[in-house]
Amino acid sequence: MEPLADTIRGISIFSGLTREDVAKVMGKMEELNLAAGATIVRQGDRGDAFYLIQSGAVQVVVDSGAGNSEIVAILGPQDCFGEMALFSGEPRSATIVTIKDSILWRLSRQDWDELIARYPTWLMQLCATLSKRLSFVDRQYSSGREAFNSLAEEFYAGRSPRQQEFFRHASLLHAIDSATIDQLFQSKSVGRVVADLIKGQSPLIRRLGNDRIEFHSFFKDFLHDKLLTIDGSDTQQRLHGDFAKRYVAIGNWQQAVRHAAEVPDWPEVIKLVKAQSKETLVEAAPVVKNILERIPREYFIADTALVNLKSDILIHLGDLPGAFRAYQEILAQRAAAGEAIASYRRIAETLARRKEYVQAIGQLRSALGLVERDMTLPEHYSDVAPEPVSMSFNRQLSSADAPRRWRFSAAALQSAPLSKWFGALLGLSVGGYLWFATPDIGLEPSGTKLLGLISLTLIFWVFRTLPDYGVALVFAMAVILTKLETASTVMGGFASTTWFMTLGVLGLGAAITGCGLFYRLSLHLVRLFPLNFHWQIVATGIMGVVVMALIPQQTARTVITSQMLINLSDSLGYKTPSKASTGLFVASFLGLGQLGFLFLTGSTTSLIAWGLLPADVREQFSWGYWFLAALPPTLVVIIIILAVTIFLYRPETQSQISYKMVQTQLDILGPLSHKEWISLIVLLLTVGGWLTAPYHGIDGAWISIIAFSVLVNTSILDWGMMRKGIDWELLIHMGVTLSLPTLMKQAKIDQWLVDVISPLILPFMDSPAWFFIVIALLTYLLKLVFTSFLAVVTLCVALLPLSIDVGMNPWIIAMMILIASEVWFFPYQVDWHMLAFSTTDGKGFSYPLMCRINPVYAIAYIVALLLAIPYWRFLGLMN
Amino acid sequence: MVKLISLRKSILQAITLLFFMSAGAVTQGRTQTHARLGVLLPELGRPQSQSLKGLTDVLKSLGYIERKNLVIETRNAKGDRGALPRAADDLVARKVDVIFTTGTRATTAAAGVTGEIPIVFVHPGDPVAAGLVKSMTDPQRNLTGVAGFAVEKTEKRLALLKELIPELRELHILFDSNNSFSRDNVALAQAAAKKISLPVVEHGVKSADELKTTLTSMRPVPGAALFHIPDDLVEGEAEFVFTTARQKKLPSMFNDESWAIQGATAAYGPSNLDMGRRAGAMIGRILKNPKNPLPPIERADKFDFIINYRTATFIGMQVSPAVLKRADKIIR
Repeated sequence: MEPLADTIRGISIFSGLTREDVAKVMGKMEELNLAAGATIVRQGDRGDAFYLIQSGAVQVVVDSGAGNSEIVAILGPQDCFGEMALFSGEPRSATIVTIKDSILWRLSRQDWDELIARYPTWLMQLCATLSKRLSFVDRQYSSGREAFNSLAEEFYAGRSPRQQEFFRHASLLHAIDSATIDQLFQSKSVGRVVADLIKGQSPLIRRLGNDRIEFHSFFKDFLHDKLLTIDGSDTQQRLHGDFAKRYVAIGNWQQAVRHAAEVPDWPEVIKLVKAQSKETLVEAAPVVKNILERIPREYFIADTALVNLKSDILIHLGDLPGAFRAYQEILAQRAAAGEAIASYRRIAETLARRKEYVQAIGQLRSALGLVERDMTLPEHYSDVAPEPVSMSFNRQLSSADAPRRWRFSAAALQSAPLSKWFGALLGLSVGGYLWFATPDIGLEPSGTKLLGLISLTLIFWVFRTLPDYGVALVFAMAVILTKLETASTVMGGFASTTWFMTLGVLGLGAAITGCGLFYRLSLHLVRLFPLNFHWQIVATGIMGVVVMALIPQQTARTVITSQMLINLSDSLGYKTPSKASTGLFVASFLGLGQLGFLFLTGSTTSLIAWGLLPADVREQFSWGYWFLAALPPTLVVIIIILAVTIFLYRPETQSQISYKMVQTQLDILGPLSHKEWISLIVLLLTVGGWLTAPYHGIDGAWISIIAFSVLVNTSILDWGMMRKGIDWELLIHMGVTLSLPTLMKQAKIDQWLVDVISPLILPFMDSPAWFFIVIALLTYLLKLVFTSFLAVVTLCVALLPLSIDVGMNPWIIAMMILIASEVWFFPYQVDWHMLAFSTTDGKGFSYPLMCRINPVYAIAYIVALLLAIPYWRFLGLMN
Repeated sequence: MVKLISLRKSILQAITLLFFMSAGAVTQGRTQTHARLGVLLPELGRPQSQSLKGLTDVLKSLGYIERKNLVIETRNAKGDRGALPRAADDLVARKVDVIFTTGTRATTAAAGVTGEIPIVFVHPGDPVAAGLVKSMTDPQRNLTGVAGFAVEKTEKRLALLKELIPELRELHILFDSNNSFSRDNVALAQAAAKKISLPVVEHGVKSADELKTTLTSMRPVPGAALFHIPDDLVEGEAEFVFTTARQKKLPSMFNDESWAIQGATAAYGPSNLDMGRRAGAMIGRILKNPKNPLPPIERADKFDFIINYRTATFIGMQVSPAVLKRADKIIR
């Protein structure tokens, strides 16, 4: 170490330090063993450390833009670089790459600051040294500048006014390319001026090759001064704006972004950056990083995709602490309520202290995903819900095997205005025809009119012409104002027990999710089973099923567990994404998303189907009886899917692993918090209340409302959580939808539907097996177009009246529809897994691999339905 | 994915196209009709719907295809008594060949506006007692149909109730004490109950409010059941009756399938579907030979025993498999 100490003392900024001081500096230095080819710092990175080479060699590469890079120096033992970073933190001016195996010593700016704080007298020494250096540089600079200015003045004065204007304006350009300059200035004459410059030998111009030049920095400053004096700053801004647009047209996104940033037009900058593919952004990572660092913070607060982008770029550049800080800052700003988010942050901070940045970043990403879900995602639009803002870019940045077609799907469906217009036109045509022409279709004129309004509403819902709940309200108002039905009937759904049950359960779900209880429970469940692929498939499968009972919000369930599954995959030694990691996600999705029908409160679709059942059937199917009746088909699905998952997604190798990850997180979470205790007690009492409903006679809805009020009054659920965690759009939608059966009954549309549908179903009515298959296939088909929620509502309304003629309890028909509506073949059909995909930055699973299980689900659901027939007969639910 | 989206759109377009094509077919059909059938309904509930279904099924089998060679003009009074004569007038004005009616009021309204056009009714009770015809053997010249004579099955209904509830101890009958027809029916039920030594508790009421108070304050002994006799006042409050009976765990026996669907524990009565079929056969004969004398009034010979298993289970009844087997329909 002695030679190293001497070397340090030989560095100008440390030259004033004593040997003891140098020893203190060395105590803070970190040894780095780097193989040849490792990038130590990148041009444009924020300078955050100083490096000293002990052995080996590095090359210093300067990127002059547009792909031109030049090796400007080779450094060897005793050389150092980055010393100015300790003071200024300015971006690196070059990229440093090892050219042979090297040992370096690194002193971070943070450690340096600590030393300075402890030994402030060093500052005196350092200031003296810096002062000498500055004075020397300044002298050199001043004399050079004077000479350049004189030359520039002479050059400028010798040009025509038009050419002078061109030079002034061109001073805003990074480089001048003769191939594009005409387009940039929209003038053919400037091309000739540039051609002359390329041919000439002026010291004011630097040739970059390929008919490209740039102004020397002094000349550029000179011209820029002229621009501000003669044209003014407004012109400068306008020019930047014009250049940005023209560079977009030319296809040079980097320059377009640079000029848009100078305007500054941040929305345009963000749009341009987001429009680039993963590969393009990664290639220009330092540039992208610089741009992102200039974007004001409020844009990051409002746009999770931007945060994820910044984080990904920083990770790519090796700045894991920077990526971590990017998330921390935004999460601090968004300050979402909820213990779960706090737990994520707590775990992340602990992991960061242990320098386990990858996991820490994953935790924060999950937390941000949770915040995002709370703020953006309506739960019941299970299929083509608005894409979370983080999604599109994440999918672009995600694993290579995430195919482009998946990226396209959901966005295409929701953003296609043509589809909306088509829906609007179709809805108005069908609705208008039935309303105004009132054709004789076997209904009374008022019934036909109501059918017209229902058809219009349905079509608007299918095409997402307007927000679902908005359409529902318009429908309600149309029925009331045209006096087709009374307000008390139309709005009766808002006073129904189903509505209150849903409100209570959503509140309970929000509390459990928010307080972190669910996450803790998931970790414990994983630890219960041996840590190998087969058992963890079972564990993750069961984990989803257990928690599903109480949290109908599929997306909440999915987001919370996604990061844990990534960590689990890491612990099991699987690549992410890989066949095995996808298998873990497939197993967890079983309970998190695919078996929502097992519990009355397992999904919002279960709740709406329950609400559409006749009153006496609702009374019959309490929470406990629903579970009992739905259990056998669920078990069949679980067995089939877990068995197939173990087979389809088995890993190639089995690694040696431990529970360290799970245990670490549980340790960090510590004992149950006050809020978790209250939530747990409320939860247990609620379930107990539901299960014992037949004995005490209190409706499940009131039990859930009691639980809800306890959570509110104990501040477990604050207003923020109620606002974000409860899907109010769903509740509005549901309030109107629940009145549909009554409306249809009073207008005799239910009977009419039976008459219309019976002949189609008649051939299958005598055979329950065929009836089940036909309904399941019909649901699969409808789900290609309808959301789960809409498919369930439509089919329940249409098919429940058939229950008498087919000799089945209406619940069986509702259950068939619910089971079949869980199937999805294409990612656009459901959204909760997309959120998992985005939360894990596409590392959790691969869509092509994930979709392999979908046909198995389609078959498993039908098999489960068929095998349930004897059991349902035993319960007296069908003939 | 693009293909899928366009598939989705194509499906919707196809549905719309089919819809408009079928609507077009309706319009087109009107111009090619030969026979015109008027349907006059007091309302469109399950009994009427089943009768209509039976009627149209049979007409179809006889070659009368709606929109091809048959136009059906339906008038539904939606429970408004005053609307029936106007609707009947309208059917006559449209020169229908036959009028099909259900129940007393619609038949009376049709008979009131035409003595020429044949009227074919389905009636759950006794058309003579209801004043539609003077006798079964000598029908009016333009009035015939199928009658259920449900009241005559009171004894049978009671026997089935006893089978359903072997421990049956007491019958409760709610009725409108101002209605002589109801009082007669109560007497019939009393006589039938006496035959099997079953005590009957009569609850004569004069208004819906009194009915509600009476039912709410009823304290039935174990083994009691509610026995329905045809009565407008009670039937008008059917939903309340069923809800309260469920709460009191009180089984109930009614006289039509539709009551069992609404919540009665069981029902026994003439099959509306079958009556509709037989009326359809009559109409077929009339349309084929309009100059022939009208066929005589027929008695319904198919009666359905319906058990609402859901209600039975809810009130804690154990229905024996043997009784379930006897049921023509079980509401699960």
